[in-house]
Amino acid sequence: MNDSHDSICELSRRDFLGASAAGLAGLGALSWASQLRANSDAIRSQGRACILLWMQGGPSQFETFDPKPGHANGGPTKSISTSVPGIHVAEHWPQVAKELDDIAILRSLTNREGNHQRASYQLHTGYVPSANVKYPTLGSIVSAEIGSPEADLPSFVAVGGTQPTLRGGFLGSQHDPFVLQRAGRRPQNTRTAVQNDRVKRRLSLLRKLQNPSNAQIDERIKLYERTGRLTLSPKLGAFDLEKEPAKLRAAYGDTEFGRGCLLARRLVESGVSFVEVRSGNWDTHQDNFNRVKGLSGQVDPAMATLLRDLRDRGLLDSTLVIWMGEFGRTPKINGRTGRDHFPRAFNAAMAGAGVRGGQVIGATTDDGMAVKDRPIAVPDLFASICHGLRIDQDKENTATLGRPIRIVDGGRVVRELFGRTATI
Amino acid sequence: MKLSLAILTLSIPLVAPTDLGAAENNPITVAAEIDRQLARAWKDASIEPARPIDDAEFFRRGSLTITGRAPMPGALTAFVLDPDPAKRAAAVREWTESKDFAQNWARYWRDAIFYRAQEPRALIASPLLESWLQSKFEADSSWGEIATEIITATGPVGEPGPTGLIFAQAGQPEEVAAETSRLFLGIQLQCAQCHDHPYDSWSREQFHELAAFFPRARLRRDGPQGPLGFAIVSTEVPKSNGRKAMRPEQFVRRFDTNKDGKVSKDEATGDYRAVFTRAVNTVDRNKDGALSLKEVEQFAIYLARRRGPAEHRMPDLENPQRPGKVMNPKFFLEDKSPGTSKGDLERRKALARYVTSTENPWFARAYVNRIWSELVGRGFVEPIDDLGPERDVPFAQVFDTLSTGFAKSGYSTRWLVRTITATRAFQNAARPGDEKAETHFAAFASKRMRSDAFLDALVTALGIPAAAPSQARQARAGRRAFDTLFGYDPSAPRDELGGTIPQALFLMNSPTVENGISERGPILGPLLRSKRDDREILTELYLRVLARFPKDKELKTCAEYIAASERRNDALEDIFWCLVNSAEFGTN
Repeated sequence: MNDSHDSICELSRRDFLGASAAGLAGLGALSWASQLRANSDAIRSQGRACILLWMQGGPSQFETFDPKPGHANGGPTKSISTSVPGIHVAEHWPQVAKELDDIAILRSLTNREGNHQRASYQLHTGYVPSANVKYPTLGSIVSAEIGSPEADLPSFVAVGGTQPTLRGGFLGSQHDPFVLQRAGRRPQNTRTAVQNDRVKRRLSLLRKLQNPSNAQIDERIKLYERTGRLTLSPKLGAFDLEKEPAKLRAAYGDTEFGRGCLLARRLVESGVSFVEVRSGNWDTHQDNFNRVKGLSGQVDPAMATLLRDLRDRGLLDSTLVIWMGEFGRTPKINGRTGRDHFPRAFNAAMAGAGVRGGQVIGATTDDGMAVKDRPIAVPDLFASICHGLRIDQDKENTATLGRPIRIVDGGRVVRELFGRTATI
Repeated sequence: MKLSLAILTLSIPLVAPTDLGAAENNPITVAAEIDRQLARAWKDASIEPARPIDDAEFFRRGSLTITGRAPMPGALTAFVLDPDPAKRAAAVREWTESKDFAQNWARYWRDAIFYRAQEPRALIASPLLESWLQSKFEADSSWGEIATEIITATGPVGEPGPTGLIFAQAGQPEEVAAETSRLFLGIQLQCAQCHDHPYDSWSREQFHELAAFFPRARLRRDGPQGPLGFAIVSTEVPKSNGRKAMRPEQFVRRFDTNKDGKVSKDEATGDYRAVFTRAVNTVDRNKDGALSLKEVEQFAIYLARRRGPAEHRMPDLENPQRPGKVMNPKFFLEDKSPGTSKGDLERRKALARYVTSTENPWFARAYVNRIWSELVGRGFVEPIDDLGPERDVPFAQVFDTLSTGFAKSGYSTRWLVRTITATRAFQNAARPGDEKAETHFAAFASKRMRSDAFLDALVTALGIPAAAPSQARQARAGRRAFDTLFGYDPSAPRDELGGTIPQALFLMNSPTVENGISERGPILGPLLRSKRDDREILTELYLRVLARFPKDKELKTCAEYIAASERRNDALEDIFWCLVNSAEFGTN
């Protein structure tokens, strides 16, 4: 009955002692149980994290990481060399090109869904949408499997908005994303209007007045507990980008996406397990070449700086960075100098968490019409993501009506991703 | 929204038969039939329905679900004290004829359309669709007429009008077709875009035949620069003038008689002089008055872009480099077609006719399912925009009775709302946790309010003053910010409507709420100055926030809290805070 009250009290005691989650010194005054909890936080904080750079709308593979300058289908897009001899990317990615040693490009993704909503759902959950099952999105899965339930910051943060259907699903609303429309400052309304002890009194009264409760009220009470923890957290400063040196902020870029990536690094440092940063709109049915140039101009410096920054701080080995969208775009250029949806052959990129960089996995035909070599289906991609994050892909969670659902629907890990330098 | 006291002194028939269709189709009669069918179904399933709601509950529920406005305490008490036995129907009648009613449903459809916008930049046009819809609902326009105007919309997107759906989908034929089917027929055809539908029996062909109604309705740049500088334009196939189409290199080969690599004015003779002049005016970059091969190629692209594909082609998945099969427009539900080579508006008008025809039961069913769901809390079919052809519909009889009546009424929204709100399904109390009762409409399924209604409830609860006319712009911006925080897609399933942390943060900590509940604020301030006792103040707060009287148990809990507090005014603020943060406040 008094759970919410107690957990908030615990937190504020920790505040006063100034003990970080990882440090055990100075916790002598706390109970054994809370020492254990603090210890497990330390263990979890050595766990892995994931940053998903989501290219909403379906980014053209020809204008990103699978250019075809020698073929008419490649359009006017030139390719540039990278830090790895033999690997080329499209001309608008010069900074990412310099970081290729850490990046694995997957050129042979293949799928059937060409509808935005369905494909987006599938590339986020690993499953095709179903009327009966609410599959959890990747961030929620990661939050549930390796996120810390004791953490005050939400384990899953989505920057730049998200599709409303992409949530915790049957894993529960506690794993829903904390959605920030824009990065930059502390989230709105995180400063309490009254003193902490009065906040706690209010929450306690709220609980008493909503007695007897029901499922709806219980959900709400849990939501308020999570919100209360966030409000009282000393880690809220992680959202504040002003604290970063101007030079670094400039390197990420003075763009929404650039700020989102910088925030992602800070959140991962503060123990958040999954951050999704959205870039859009890549749905270039018309004026493809100019639009992709503009978008790449935002994503290229941000992504490259993110990888460098994570590496410099020793975080890259434990952080999986994924770059992808819901499908690719047609080799054929349409009458509006655009490219249409093309799930048949598209690309993605991964780095960190043991991924062996400096390689290209899979290939498409010269005309880009099909996968030529080593096709990768969505379950294979998800199996690989789980492998990188040390999540058991075959673990079954229980959906509504007691139905067991595996985290990944079959699928085989793309072994080449992890190679011999992985520490697994 | 004040209830006119004049109604008390008149004895009026509940419904004037002439203004709502044939006498036997009047809302009260149909509602009575529905109640009979419900009672039978409950008996067969051995379900005891929840108690009927009392007048205060009715007034709050009706006000919120029908007009999207929270009841003012004065109007609430007046209604409760009104001895007229027909007051509920009278209240519903007044609500359905109000401007708020029109605005509420305009906002509902604005959200239903724009939450699925493929083009995020189109969102800026949503107020324009809303204001057009509001004028339609104010006139009680038939839903058939509204759907027709949306499907056949043309003209600038920067003016109030029905262009919103096509604009939101960036004029893409496949996306417009998918949304037309989802919104107006309740059929999710887009699952068949790339492969035969996974569980319904629609084929890929049928999806692309529907898309074939739309390829000649294109979004074009029009008017001033800026995000609204577009118009929906019917592009038609240019009349053939006997000239054979040529590829750029053919053109140059034929006309470059002196072989200097470009076509000059003298060389472009006969029929092609006009084309040459036009091309030179458009693409002659180096201004040499002649056309190089590259310039001719540019011109060909320019022409193609302006014309747009005249027909919709279904992509060839096996051989993507092929242009794909030309599709004839055909309406998948009845295999009806306007024929090929018909112009854009002819095609779209034909589609609108097929969709809204009273012979097509899906049009009425899709609408009825949504409005029922908004008023009663659950649809006959859920998700509410996925009626399929092969769904098992419990309460099919009630659904059909209502859908048939709606069609007979000329697709009148007022008729539908009056009918539904007269049934026991609307007037049952809630029994939270009793899912069986809820799915059988034996208990009301309360649902989170839509953001516009919630903002209004908050404004009423906290006594937030109305914005001065000079501040209309800031007020609109504030409402939009609130929508971003609390809004949701009206088609979203119930279980996706749980609260989020940013919403809780707002209600817990925002200055808006803190100022509203303050002892110096517009509600508590006067109450404290009036020197009323705790019980009276608490009753006022409950009436204002939750539109009901507090239960004895609640009064006891509050009294204990006040007694244990150091400061009475702080305690009252805290109680006010709890009411605003309660689960009950934010739901219908």
